[in-house]
Amino acid sequence: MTTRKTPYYETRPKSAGWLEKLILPLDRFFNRVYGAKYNPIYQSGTIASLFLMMTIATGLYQLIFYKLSAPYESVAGLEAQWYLGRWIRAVHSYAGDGLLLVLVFHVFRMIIQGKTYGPRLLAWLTGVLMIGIILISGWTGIVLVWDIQAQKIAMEGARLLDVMPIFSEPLMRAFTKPEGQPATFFFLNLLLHMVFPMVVLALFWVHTLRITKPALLPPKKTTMWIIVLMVGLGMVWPMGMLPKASQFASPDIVNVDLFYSWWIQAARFISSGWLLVLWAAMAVFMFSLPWWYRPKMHQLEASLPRMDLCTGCNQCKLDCPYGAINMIDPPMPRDDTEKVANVTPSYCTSCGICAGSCAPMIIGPPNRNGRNLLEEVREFQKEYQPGASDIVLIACEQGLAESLRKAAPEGVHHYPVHCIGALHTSQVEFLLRRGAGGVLMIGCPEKDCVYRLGTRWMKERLYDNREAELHERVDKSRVRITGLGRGELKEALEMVRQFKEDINSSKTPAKDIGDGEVNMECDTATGGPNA
Amino acid sequence: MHNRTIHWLVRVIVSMLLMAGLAYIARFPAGMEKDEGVLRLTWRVVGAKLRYCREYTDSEKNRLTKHMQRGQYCISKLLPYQLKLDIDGKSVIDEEMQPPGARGDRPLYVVRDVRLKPGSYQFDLSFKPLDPFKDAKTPEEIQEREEMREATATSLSKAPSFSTSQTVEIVDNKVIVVDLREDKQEFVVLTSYQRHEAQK
Repeated sequence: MTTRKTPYYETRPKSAGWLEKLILPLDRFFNRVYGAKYNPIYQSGTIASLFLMMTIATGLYQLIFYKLSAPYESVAGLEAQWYLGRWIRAVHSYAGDGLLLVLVFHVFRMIIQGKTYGPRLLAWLTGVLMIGIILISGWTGIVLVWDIQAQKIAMEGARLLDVMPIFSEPLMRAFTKPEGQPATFFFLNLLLHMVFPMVVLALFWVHTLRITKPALLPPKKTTMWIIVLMVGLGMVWPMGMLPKASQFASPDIVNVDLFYSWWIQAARFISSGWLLVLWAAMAVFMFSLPWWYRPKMHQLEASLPRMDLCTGCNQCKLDCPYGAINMIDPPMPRDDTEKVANVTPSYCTSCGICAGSCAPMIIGPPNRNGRNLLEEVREFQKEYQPGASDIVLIACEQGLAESLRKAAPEGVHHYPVHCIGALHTSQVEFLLRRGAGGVLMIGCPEKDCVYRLGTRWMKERLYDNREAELHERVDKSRVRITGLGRGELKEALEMVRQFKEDINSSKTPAKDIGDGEVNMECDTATGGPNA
Repeated sequence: MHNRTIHWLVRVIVSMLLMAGLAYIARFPAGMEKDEGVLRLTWRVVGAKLRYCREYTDSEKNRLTKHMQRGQYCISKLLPYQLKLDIDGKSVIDEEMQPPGARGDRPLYVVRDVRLKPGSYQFDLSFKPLDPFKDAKTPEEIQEREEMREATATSLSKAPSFSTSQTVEIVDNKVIVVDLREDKQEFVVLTSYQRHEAQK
């Protein structure tokens, strides 16, 4: 097995590998059960937004029946509505729990994929802020029921805040008065419980501001499946009512919602002061992460367009997953185009997808535009000369490239790329025309592409004529593309074996067109590699 | 059975298990130790104010701007209190409570939970004013103590002092609230809202 000697553009710190080991078995399991398209870990962001919508919708119904003067009794009334209120309340609660759970996975995923710094900083910070607000919103929701769990949350929360010397009267006193809580207390909680989700929605807009075509909901099938499951769960296992809160009761066993109340268990073992320090430390850890959790010596090199050669086709703008490219008036008047591509460096993640989208090969990160890529593949071919019985395995460095390099069998020439979407189809054509038996591309799963759209765009370039498309003259039976997660090495190796077998049994000759040269538009104008 | 059907069934089963896990964690059985009740001490006390005023000395006057020199030098703060709780002769709480606030002029608040096994307990509770200068060490503190000796004594003599000795029956999962009625200068032990209402 040979491998292309390529510089590895590190996008995440080495320690990400340790974290990844925790989540990979689960990732693999879900891929086997649901398939990569419906893997809930890959959909964590969109599932979170679905859960948020569900909590808002079900919350509105409950709002009609909630009484500030009799909170517990009004919730009990809802619970007595077996036909509607009972399961709507359960769905509200479960969706709130699910929201927090999938957000944990979402955060893990972002950390593992190194999507925290640079152009992703805004999304990271707003995401962390949203989690904090969702937590507080959840607590206010629990308190609204005013059962023993609510009392416990309220009292522990007050105990925590009392550590800070900012209140003239300890908040804790409010929950120890024998006469109970006034309606204003519940009004305040209800207000916060309604306002916070609105703030989260506003933050969600900011969160997705720097990505193009953000998916707001999971695929239709997943959405329907989740709704059916949630409603079913709400009907089969409603929340029920815990005993009413009382200043004179201290129940020994409380069925707590561990998603939102786990810290109350911690309060049994450590003092409120230390608990407050723990919360503060967690907040500092999360907010500061982008500044210390990043690869050493890493600099994102933003894409550079050659405005003098840009044809103004708009394709790079359409393909950029982060909205970093816009079309502007050319600096010098041009007869052939009114607009040319321009890159906003602070938005660019240096993924290189624009390099793969540009037919004239004039855009891409430094040394990684189409022309550079073609030059690279030319050298690779010259050095290793993959023959008719060999395959070139092009794998994504963000995915399985490293594992495949170590494990791929003989007769496989390994060609790692920064992102499958950053590959130019002319590279594939070049390899095949120079005699390689086949080209197998293994990118990340479409829903888990580190650069969001790499695998999807590449598939469309190969099979759906998306610019820069793989030309018709190329024998597409010798090209295959798939998306596999980092935990799916076994499946990848099986795919390599199968592809190699198919290529070797193919009756079409591998080298079938011309002299192997690839035509590059604009070559004559620039003195590019083919000129 | 067809492979697709099996795959579909596996999806359904895994989804249901995930849902069941979610529902279980949403009502996870947790809480304080079994067989425990709580003796809760909770009250608010203004206590007694210590106020002392005198004319400025010449050197103090010289440090002040003209328009400030007409006034007096005054100190006004609340007395600290000593909270003591003995249960069956064993000291459980013994702490000094300083009035909160930057100037030490905010009322004292007590909120303490003592967890006990069910049973009958004899508790001795006291909440008594303290001399604010009893720990004076530095020359300035000692000078301030001497200067305010009379005012302190007057304040201490007027400050309300509270104590009680009672037997309580701690019941599993129940809270016994010990409140303080400053107007009647006595502790009240409450076991239910009704009793609190009756004592008003």
